[in-house]
Amino acid sequence: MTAPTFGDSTSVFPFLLGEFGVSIFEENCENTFAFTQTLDITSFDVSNDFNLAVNAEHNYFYEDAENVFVFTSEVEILAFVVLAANRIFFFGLYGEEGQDVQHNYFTEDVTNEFDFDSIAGYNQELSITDYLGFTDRYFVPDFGNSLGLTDSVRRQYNVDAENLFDWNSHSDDPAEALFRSYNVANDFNFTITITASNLQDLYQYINFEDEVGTGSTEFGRPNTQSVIKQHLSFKITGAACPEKEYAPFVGSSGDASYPEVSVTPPTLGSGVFTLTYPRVSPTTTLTLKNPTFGNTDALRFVKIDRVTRGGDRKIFADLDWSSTQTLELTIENICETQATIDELLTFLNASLGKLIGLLDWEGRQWEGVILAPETDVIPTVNGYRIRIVFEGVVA
Amino acid sequence: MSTEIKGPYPNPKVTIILPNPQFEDARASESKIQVKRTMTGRLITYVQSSDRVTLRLPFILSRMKSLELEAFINAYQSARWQVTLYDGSVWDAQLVGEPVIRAAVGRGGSSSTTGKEVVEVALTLSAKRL
Repeated sequence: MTAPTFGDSTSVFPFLLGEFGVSIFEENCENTFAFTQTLDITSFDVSNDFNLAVNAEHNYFYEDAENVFVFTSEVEILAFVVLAANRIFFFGLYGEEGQDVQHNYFTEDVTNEFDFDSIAGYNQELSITDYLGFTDRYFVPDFGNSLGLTDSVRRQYNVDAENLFDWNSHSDDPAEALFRSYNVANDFNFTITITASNLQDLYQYINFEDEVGTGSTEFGRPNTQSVIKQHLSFKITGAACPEKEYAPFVGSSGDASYPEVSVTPPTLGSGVFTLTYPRVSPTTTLTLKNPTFGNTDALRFVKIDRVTRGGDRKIFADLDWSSTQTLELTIENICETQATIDELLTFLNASLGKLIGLLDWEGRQWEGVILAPETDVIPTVNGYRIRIVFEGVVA
Repeated sequence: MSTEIKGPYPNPKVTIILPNPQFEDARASESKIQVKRTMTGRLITYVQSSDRVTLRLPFILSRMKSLELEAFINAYQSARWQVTLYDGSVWDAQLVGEPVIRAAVGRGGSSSTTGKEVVEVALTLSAKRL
């Protein structure tokens, strides 16, 4: 494509600043430059060259060295063909000890908004170089670069958009190894948001390189790299997902997992309190008197009990989770003979942690284990008293 | 009027009828308050209000009724119950007091097949009035 030529009005503005003299007693030095170039476009070769330098040299502390650049380019395009629109920015700053240096390249976000009938290419290049030299090893600077680039292309058809980032953080002091520690962190956030009927290619290339030389093994610290790369592809169907109903709590409406309770009552009879061991094919049988009143039967369940912020209580328990039943029995007036007491203690020792059988005073057979075998056997005026804690189930 | 417990709520499968609870049954609010006082003496209270109450219901049951209650609890210990008390109040309740301890406190019952003991059991429920 050949650009039509309507004339030549190329303007070049060379500026060389920096030879101005600044008294050492002056705290602030401020220069404001305003450039306005109005072009009657008759050519597509338009170029602006800016070369601005601030060089402050003295040995005293000064607070701010600030370059403020405001670039505004407004290109009003009629119905022409533009070959290329280029912006090239190069900023360099050299700072010394005690400085609070700051680059404000744009006092406000620069927005280029062009409407073209067609364009062959659009390119923005920005190169920033900061070099700070510190001679005090205990001086800890805040050194940050922040760059935001946004490409927004409104077009109906195929788009090739490419962002290139080349970001280097470099620190060394090979002479005296003054930098005993240095924290380097580069954070990159790349976001690609595309809504298109057809997505052909989507690439993100990330390359991180760290080269760390501590100069000393004493302060050597590991350097880490982490790359998180996500691609999110979605399809807009125009219909919302159906609402999911999730009710994990037993007790919700219509829960069918609850068993029916038997309507047949257990048969109770009468019996004599008897312990047997082992549970299967018992070889040891210990018959005692029935417990006195006051015996207890405790039901315990494993369940999750939570109260929500709204005050609702949510209790969840799976029917497969365990439940325990613990009998606490006190038997008095047993066995006046020492031999029976020895027999009882022998039974407790032999059945430690083992499954035993228990026939209760109602004729029901239990199986379980004896808890607290260290129970006291207490002699009383009418015989011995013993307290048995038994955990088990009706066999 | 007796105590009627249905479970699970709201679609009950089983109803168990218990006698009225013993005197000194209790209803306690589940609202909480936390009091802080600053260094300057200013009083600050943090309130966690709740419309739930804790019902403590001591029963004395026959041995067979206690076994019936045991079967009910084993089946619906994690479910919500609909509890109707002696004063006609109806509650959406959940069993929170554990363990459920039944103590045989004395003789009772008329035959060997229905048990010969009376059992004392106290239910602790977290309930919201319906």
